[in-house]
Amino acid sequence: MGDSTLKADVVIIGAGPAGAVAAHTLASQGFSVVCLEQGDWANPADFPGNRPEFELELQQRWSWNPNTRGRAQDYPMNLDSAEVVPIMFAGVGGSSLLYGAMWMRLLPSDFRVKTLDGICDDWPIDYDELEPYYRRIDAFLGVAGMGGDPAYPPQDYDMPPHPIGRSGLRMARALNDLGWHWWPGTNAIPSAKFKKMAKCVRWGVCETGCPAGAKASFDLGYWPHAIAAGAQLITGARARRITVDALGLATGVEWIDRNGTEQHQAAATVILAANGVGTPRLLLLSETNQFPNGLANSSGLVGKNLMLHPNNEVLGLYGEDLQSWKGPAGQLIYSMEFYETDPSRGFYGGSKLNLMPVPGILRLLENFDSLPFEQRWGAAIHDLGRFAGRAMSWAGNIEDLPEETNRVVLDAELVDSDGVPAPKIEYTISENTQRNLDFALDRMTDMHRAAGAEHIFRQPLWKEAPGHLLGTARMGDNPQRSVVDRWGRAHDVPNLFIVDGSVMVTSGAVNPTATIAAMALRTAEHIATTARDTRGIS
Amino acid sequence: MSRLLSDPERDQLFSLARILIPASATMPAADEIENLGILLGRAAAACGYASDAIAQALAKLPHAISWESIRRYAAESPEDFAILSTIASGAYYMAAEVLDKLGFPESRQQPADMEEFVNELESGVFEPVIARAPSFRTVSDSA
Repeated sequence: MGDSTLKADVVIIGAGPAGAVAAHTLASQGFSVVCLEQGDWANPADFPGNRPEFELELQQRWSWNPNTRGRAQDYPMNLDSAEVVPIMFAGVGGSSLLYGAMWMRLLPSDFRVKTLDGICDDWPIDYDELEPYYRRIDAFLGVAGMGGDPAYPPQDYDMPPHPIGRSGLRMARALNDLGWHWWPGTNAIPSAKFKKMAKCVRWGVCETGCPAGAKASFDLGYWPHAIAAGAQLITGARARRITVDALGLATGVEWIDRNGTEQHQAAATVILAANGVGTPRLLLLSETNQFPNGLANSSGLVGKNLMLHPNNEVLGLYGEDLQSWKGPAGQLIYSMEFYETDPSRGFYGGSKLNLMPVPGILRLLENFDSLPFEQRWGAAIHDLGRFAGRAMSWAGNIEDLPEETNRVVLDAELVDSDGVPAPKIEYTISENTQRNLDFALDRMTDMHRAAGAEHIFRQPLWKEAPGHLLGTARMGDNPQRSVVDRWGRAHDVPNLFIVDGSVMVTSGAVNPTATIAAMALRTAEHIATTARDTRGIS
Repeated sequence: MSRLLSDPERDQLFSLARILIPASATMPAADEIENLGILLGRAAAACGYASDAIAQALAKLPHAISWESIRRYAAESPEDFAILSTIASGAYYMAAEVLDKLGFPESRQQPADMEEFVNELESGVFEPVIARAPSFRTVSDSA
């Protein structure tokens, strides 16, 4: 093992959104912060979206699925028992490099599912407690949106929203006719130049990396500020286990550098920000005689209750030129009409539906792949290709309820490029989630019909989406029913904190990054204010 | 990883593209695209399919390429056909003249004017949803 580096106040595992916020917050308050990231910096020029062959590059090299990409930085997953693939990306900024930056808060009811619907558990905190943190993150990142959405308690944004475009206008009129809710998209995509980020130029490829550097991925939105505040970021650093002392306190992180050499980063406090798969993987990897079932796992819940927000889609093709290459993507508009639980629908929870552009022609044509050969190729391809620029897509983000049988475990054989055991994902879509999926699919179809689509394509499930990795180290007041407390502190290890989506008790149905970032800010400030209680932090 | 196509492989893909994408009244045939050979090479490199997978798919491609032989190939070797048809159609839709005929911009980079959202807001389409009553539940809504 390499020489131990100087002891830091805080070591953070993972440089995605949660790690970035924690690093910036603590470094800004004078703490020495080291962040270990297994991936590298991404250069916006590397992203494929502004090249003519961009859709082809998405087939493999820029696939959302790390198993398909096959990069050494990503770890593989055993997906034999996974009905949905938990997509992710290892790098500075983490999966936010490839996210759509749809910036949505949870609703008050999401924190009180037990109280309101009699199922699952309530969170130990509520919307009002988190709201100031949401607001501060929004302002820091330059979130673009329009305040006043009646689906939410009062909220507003400094940055004006993006135009909803021809697609958004046509669909908004249809939803008005249906009497259904919609709202212009709230996106962490600057509609004007903001800090280190350029103004959005609407390439429409946000979910494959913004080639213009105009999306609040956290390599742009947070890391430059964290580094300026003094945080040290080490890339190519694969965390292997969290080390503990005889008292059961975390002492640091054992990690492997680019040369395959083992290193140890000593720290007074360890923060896990490795996402809902990576965090339980590391806790399970950190088993010792003292913690035989994995670190912080006296509840037995580490890795369990994995929630993935299954997504589905309904694509509509129209006679009108919709300029459907225009971003952001990002969401043009969203609908919360079917968000809250309605017992008459026969399932708990709901969905957030978002309308997106369709910038690629191949993606459009893929919808016709099931047609007979002579209706897909030859002269027929031009009948299909004429819909280029005339398509819009509704995607459903479906609330997933916690199920202990949906879980992350360590695979017995599969290892990453450093020989560290890889995770196995065991995930089945529950009957409740399936009903929710089916209902959302029908409503999105209704929306396209109301808007006058000429062709409608229903995709009952996107198997490789959306990368919302939640619930596997849930928070709660009861150590027997949760892994961390209301501040993200592990019940079993007082100087170990978790700040990623693992801590979410229920999933809601919105894109979770806003919540993860707000929670990370709240936890990091708590660490700072209670530092005297934590061994070693001066 | 994908690698550069050899000349014979490029010729095979060219022949396949010619069959899959003929001319229409408004659109050019694949073999009318001035630089299709170059685009096929770029498409094959970009798609990321393993070199062996592309070579295998090409090896199974009929020697006498015709509409009927390709139709049979697609039915009998659907995974191989998917790879090659993706490369062929991907190259076609990379061509500037094809995008132009479709009215699809070659560069999709189009920053919004500041007035664009304001004009949408003033169109009246927002009024019904702005007028809606709050719809979120609170704890006081519990039974």
